[in-house]
Amino acid sequence: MIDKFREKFVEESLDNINDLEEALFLLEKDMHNSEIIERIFRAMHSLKGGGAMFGFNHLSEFTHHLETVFDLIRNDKLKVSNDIISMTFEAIDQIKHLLQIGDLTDAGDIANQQAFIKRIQEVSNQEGSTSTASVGGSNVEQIAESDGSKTFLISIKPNEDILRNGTNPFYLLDDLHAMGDAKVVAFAKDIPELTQFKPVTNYSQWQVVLNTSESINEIKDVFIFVEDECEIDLQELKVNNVINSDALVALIDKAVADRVLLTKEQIEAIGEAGSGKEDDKKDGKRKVQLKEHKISSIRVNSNKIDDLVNLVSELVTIQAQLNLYAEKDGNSDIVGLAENIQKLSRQLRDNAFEISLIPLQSELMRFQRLVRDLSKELDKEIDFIIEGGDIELDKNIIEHLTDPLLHIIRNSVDHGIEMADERIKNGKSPKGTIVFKAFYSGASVIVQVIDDGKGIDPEFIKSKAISKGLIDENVELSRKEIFDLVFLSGFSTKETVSDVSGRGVGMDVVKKKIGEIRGEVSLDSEVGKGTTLTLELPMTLSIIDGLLVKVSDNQYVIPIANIEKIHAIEDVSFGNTINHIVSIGEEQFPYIDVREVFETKNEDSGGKQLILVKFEDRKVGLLVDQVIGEYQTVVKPLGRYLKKQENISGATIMGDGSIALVMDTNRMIHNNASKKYRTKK
Amino acid sequence: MKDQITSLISFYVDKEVFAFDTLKVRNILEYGKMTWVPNTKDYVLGVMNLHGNIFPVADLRVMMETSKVENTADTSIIVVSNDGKTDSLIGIVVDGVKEVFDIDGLEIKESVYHGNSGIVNSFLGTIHKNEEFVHIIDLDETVLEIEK
Repeated sequence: MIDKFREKFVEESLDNINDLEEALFLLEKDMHNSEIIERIFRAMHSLKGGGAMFGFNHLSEFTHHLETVFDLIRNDKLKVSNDIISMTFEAIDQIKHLLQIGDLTDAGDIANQQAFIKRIQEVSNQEGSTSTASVGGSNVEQIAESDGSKTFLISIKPNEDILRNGTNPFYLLDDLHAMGDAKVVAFAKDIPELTQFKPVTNYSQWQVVLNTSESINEIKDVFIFVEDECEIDLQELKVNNVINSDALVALIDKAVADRVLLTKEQIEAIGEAGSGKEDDKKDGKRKVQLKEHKISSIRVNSNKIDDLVNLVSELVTIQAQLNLYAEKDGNSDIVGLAENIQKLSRQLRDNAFEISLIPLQSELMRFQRLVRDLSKELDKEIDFIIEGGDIELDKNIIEHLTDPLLHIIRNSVDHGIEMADERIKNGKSPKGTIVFKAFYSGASVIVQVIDDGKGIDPEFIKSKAISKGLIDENVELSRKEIFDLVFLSGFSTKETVSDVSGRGVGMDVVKKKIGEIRGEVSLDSEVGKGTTLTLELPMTLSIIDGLLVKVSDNQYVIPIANIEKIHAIEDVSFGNTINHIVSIGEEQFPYIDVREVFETKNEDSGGKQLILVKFEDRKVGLLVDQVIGEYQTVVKPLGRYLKKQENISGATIMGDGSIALVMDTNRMIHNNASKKYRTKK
Repeated sequence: MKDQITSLISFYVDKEVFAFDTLKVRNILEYGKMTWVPNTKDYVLGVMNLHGNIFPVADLRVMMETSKVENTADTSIIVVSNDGKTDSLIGIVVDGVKEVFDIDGLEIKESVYHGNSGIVNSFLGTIHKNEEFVHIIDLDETVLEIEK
């Protein structure tokens, strides 16, 4: 049980840390913004409190010292400096570490931590800065005393400055509400006139009549973080459940009108009067003013979402079977039902997939951090600008994306952006810029990393590729083809392995990783102006809309997103079969005979159709036997033994239980249309 | 490795008897229709669908380069996963499944099998049972060959 809570705490803390880092970045740009400082303080405060509660004592202790620093800053006793920010960044790493391993056991680690704390203390070493850490070790869980419900009268009088600490007293009331039936009475008699009213000052106090089966200790736990900021009075009442009695309502109404606090005796008197039965009929009217706290998002284990998506995928498959059966059967009732189920399962599918999408934002912090740390290390000044952080992608895609992107950004910082003096010499601003940009484009998401650095010379790439034996000396390559050379394995433009990006991962690995999630990478660059790296990614991995085609005995699925147009064979004239060129109307296109690529055995000629598919900036024709129709596809992997199969990216189970293979047109075209590259073995 | 094996599933390839560790076997299917996959090795016959999982089928007779490959009513597909993951499912076509038996005291001897066994060349041992030699195929090594 406790482990589960700890897990949850770690998860939430990671969010908190994310927030903390984000706020720190903002603070770095705007060192006097009290709102940001407040945000940082709050995040630290929850880390500290939660840490102590869930047995992360070292974490709690450590954060306490850090919090002290920001408490001083908050109260204008200390100024934000670059040193403090850098130290805090370092401290965040330490906090992450502590979250991962729990309390330290290794003596060396403990010594390190102590040394770090010393450093923090030195920063905060202005007198009188020890704020109270009241959350010590007194959180031994007690077993509830009895399960019969009891009624309590709880009076809460927060200090005037409770809001300044980021505490929202309403949450306390919510927590109490969650424990059982409660009536809350607010007393706001101390509110001054508007002219004297200060928004950050608390003027209110509350009383809560709570009927709960929780123990008194559980109630006390609600106030664990605000003990020093509130006057809390907790009394157990010797009555039955009177919460819903009219007498209590009347009593409360009177108390509010008279502005006099309720007392224990008053309520106990109701109980004795014997009206403690449930007569909650007219509950509606006089609800004590308390805004309902709506939960707008919930946290779900990602495995559960994977399960959901899998189930929905199965459903879509079965639904296709049902459709097939309904058509065969011809019974109009069943056809109608099947259509309805199809509609529903489509909606369900879309919903389920939307759930599994997460915003790119969640990973951006790491990139921002990388740019910051690296530029400091390399002594370059770099602005990192993020556009479209709210773009959402399948979480499995994001997981695959992080490492390649880290590599790309590292490259930009290390090789792209020049040193300040060099930039000035070339008439550029001494400060480099890296733009991280994400946007939707059709069914794909485009992610770009754009730097304004020195760029890459295509001629240089070409000569390099020739010297490495990757291409033939006389080959004619388009500009795009030249830049594509960078992604070949065995190609690395940097002669010397630098400490930063030369970690054995080349661009070929980036391409491979992105390819694994059916994405494409391309590069464009202009000497002196900068380099742009573009990733084109699918939004989701497991379901695609496809076109079902027949080639020889097999059925194949071509992702519709790639398809430009379908032509009947009569419209097409095969001018030159040796070069594999067709002309349609007044245009010519290269084409691939899929039978040829697949080396199919039987060679009778069926009807033929040409499907024009988009490939990078061109269109290429695919010659298939027959187009069958549109088909919604749940893509399944072929397993590890067929991973090397390049022209097929997966398979799908058809309504009748047979299997259709999903064509990877991009790879097929790439492998067959670009024989200009001599593959290096 | 071979000490952990407690029971075996034996089958014929041509006239010889071979066996897999029962723990690695997920299912035994009749030889049936499968979907051919282009650009694969000659012993990969295609892919099949079992409970929504798609897995490749390899013909052990082709892998072992037996003299004749002929499908009969006995021809079966043994579906195995050497590491228990669905990603590693693979169907192995054999000439007929013989029996499942416990090792119980039978001695696993060093395999002396030197048949003309194609790309299947690692064996965990040989058991002498009922006047027959049963050669235990090392699945881990065999799937590595397939994966190459």
